[in-house]
Amino acid sequence: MNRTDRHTVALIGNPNTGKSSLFNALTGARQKIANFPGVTVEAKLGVLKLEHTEIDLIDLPGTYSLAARSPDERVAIDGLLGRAKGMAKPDGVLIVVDASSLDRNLYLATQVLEFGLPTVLVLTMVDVATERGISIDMDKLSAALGAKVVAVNSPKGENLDILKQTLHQTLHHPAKPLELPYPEDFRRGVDTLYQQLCDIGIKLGYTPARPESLRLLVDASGPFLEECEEVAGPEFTRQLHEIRDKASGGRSLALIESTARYGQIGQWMLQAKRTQNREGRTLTDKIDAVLTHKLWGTLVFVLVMGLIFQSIYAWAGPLMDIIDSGFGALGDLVGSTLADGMLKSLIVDGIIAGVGGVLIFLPQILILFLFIALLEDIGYMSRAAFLMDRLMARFGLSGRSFIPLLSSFACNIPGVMGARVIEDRNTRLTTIFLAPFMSCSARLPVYTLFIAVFVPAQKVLGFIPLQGLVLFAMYWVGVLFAIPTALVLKRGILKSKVTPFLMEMPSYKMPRARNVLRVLWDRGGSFVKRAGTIILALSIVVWAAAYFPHSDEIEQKYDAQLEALQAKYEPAVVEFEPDFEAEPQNSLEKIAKAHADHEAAIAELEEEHAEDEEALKAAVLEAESALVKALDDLRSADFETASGQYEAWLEYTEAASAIENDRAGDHLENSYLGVMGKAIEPAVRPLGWDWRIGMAAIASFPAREVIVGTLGIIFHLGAEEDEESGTLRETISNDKSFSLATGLSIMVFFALCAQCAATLAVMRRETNSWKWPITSFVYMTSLAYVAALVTYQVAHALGG
Amino acid sequence: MLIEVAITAAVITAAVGFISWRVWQTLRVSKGKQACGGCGACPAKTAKP
Ligand SMILES: Nc1nc2c(ncn2[C@@H]2O[C@H](COP(=O)(O)OP(=O)(O)OP(=O)(O)O)[C@@H](O)[C@H]2O)c(=O)[nH]1
Ligand SMILES: [Mg+2]
Repeated sequence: MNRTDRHTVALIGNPNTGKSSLFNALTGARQKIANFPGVTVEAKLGVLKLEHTEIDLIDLPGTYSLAARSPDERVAIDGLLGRAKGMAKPDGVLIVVDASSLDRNLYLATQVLEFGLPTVLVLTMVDVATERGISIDMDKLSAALGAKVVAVNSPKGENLDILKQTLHQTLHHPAKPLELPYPEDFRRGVDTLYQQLCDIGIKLGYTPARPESLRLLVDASGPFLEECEEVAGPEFTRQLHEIRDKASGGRSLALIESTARYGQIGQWMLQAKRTQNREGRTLTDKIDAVLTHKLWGTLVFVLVMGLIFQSIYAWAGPLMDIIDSGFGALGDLVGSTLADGMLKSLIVDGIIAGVGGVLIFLPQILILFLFIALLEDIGYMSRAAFLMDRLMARFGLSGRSFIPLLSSFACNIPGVMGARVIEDRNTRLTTIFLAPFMSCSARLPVYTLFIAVFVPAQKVLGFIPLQGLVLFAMYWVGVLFAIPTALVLKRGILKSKVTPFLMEMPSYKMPRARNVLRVLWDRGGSFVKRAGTIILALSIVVWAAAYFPHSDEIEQKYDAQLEALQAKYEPAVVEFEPDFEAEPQNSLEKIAKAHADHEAAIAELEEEHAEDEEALKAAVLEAESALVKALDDLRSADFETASGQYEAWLEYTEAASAIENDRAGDHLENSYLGVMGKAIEPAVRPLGWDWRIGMAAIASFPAREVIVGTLGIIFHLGAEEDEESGTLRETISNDKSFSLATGLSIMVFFALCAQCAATLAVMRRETNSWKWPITSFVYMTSLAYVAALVTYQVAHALGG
Repeated sequence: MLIEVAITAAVITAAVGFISWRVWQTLRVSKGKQACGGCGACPAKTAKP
């Protein structure tokens, strides 16, 4: 009784036609959407719920034809043919067609319609087409194609219900394959080949569809051909050549195919499409004239990039301070509620310092992704790629490589995967190899931390903030090293012919707030999630390595020192613990409070008169005389004794905290991390690093941001806290082993080092061999080391 | 005191366990058996069939 069919429907279409937008709208999935071709490079499954049934929907990469040239196109075709891993063979198709370039889009449609699967043709970008004066008669088009046609606007959610209904109906009706008027010889060739394929179907394990024999006839190579040759042997190859000869009649088979298709499309267009010639150039053309102009375009590109990095600095500061003080307060709260000991140290010095140290960079990450999302949505990426094509050609690459490389600035992984759009194998491998040179968002915290510490907040030329400029420069470090690398690869082992760069320029679109917000939410969310999972786990391990063994010997040594110190002072001094919130009870407390109030007042004045030194001096003098007066008022019988006690107390607390500092430092140096660090210190000394930075860099090999967390942990453990915990920034700037030269060398190291396990894993997957990730790792790590070494030595010699 | 040691030990063990699990997952990514979970830049949630 319970008979229900489960359908699988594939979304196929040219790149950037809105497949993923439609997929998301129909299934509620959150596939990446952006306004440039080649966004989707993997097949993704989603579920479309209809009234009586559910449909498995497959979102595929875009392709212009069923003759695959690049790996992402192959994924699309495999998806259609049911070869995608873990996905069923589609028994229905949604062909997504960009109405604003209907003719070209229909080329793929004719190929897919030949399969005779139940098909709905989905028109997208009708709004763009209308703007360009194109109107389409959908009934006529539908009649011509022999398939239902529905126009939708997925970003606005228009007509989705109609599409669902139409799809549902279509799936329940058998469809007829499209017949195109091929020349007789060609048609016979396809038929003969089809017979042969059916014969070897038993060996293949499936029966190929008739259009697959057409592809086999026309395409000189491909995985299907290889498969057939493998199961059917050389006899098959010989016969195939014979059939091809007969079918071609001396002409090019590919030309015969495309002539037939475009001929048919031309006829349909006469019936179904009307174009009103609009006056002049479209807005897109006008903007393009500037943005793809050699000079103006380059200028805009540089300005846009500069703006992004300046904004990261200008806007992130206040937000970071909020998060920072939040974590500071949390640390103080936990610190005051938990008793001193292992667990408190784990939470305060390990988890809060480690994870909190990373999380404060959330605002910067969000700002970076805000800009990336805007540029992607507007349609700027393709223009930038076009602009860069000429430049990239000098390094043996093309504009095609540019988009994967640009995406790498967000994260290297989509960059490596995005290289799938590149047809030429060697160019693709080169691009994959270069992707990790681009500074991903995980490097951002490292740069901003050290820039904030070492680069003064000045302006260059009176208006360009120096910090943002240095950040911009850091992004160029990777690019600068990528260029010679590309040259060597492309001249050497990965030679290939330069193929002309053909890329569609999508029309400009207003960024959609919802998409941008969703990107921010997702990226922000995954940054927080990453901090809460892998960074947390690594922080805990780093803390453990830096805390243990925590030997009793060291404890006893400093306990003894402390005891000896305490013996030198009277108990009233040693036991004195002022509480400035409470009302002072005796003279000692009163004196201490007067001094504390005075210090607070000075701090406030310093902030108030930060700009004006003269005013500050005057105000401080005034505050000092106020203190003298306050102390005068306190004169009483025991004033002299109490004053003496206060002085002694100051001396004692200073000495005691020095002992505690030494204790913490001693524990750290004798911890597992410390011992390892000392062992490797000679190797990192030439880079200007001490063992702590060396260990922090090593701990960051699984994930770069860990360096920030690790430094936080090491500094927390290595020094007894003052009342208020300073930020990592302040701690570093007060630390003698950090100088500008050291900061630069750390940044250069992180710019160039392949410290990301996930990227290496994806490289292995995309290249299908460990050779590339291993080479990349060794090469980049050595390069990072040498470059950091040179940076430090030069900067140091120049006095940095 | 004993409880403190026990909790700390449990937390460290959990962290080490989690890292090992992630290492294993990363290796699976390299073999194409698993969508990458590395950077989180592509949070495309694949709806379960
Ligand atoms: N104006 C307009 N824009 C649309 C429409 N449908 C999608 N878009 C936009 O078109 C762009 C491309 O959308 P995607 O869904 O990423 O396209 P895709 O076909 O998945 O692209 P690839 O994965 O690169 O093949 C995005 O900027 C969408 O917002 C539409 O009907 N009208
Ligand atoms: Mg897509």
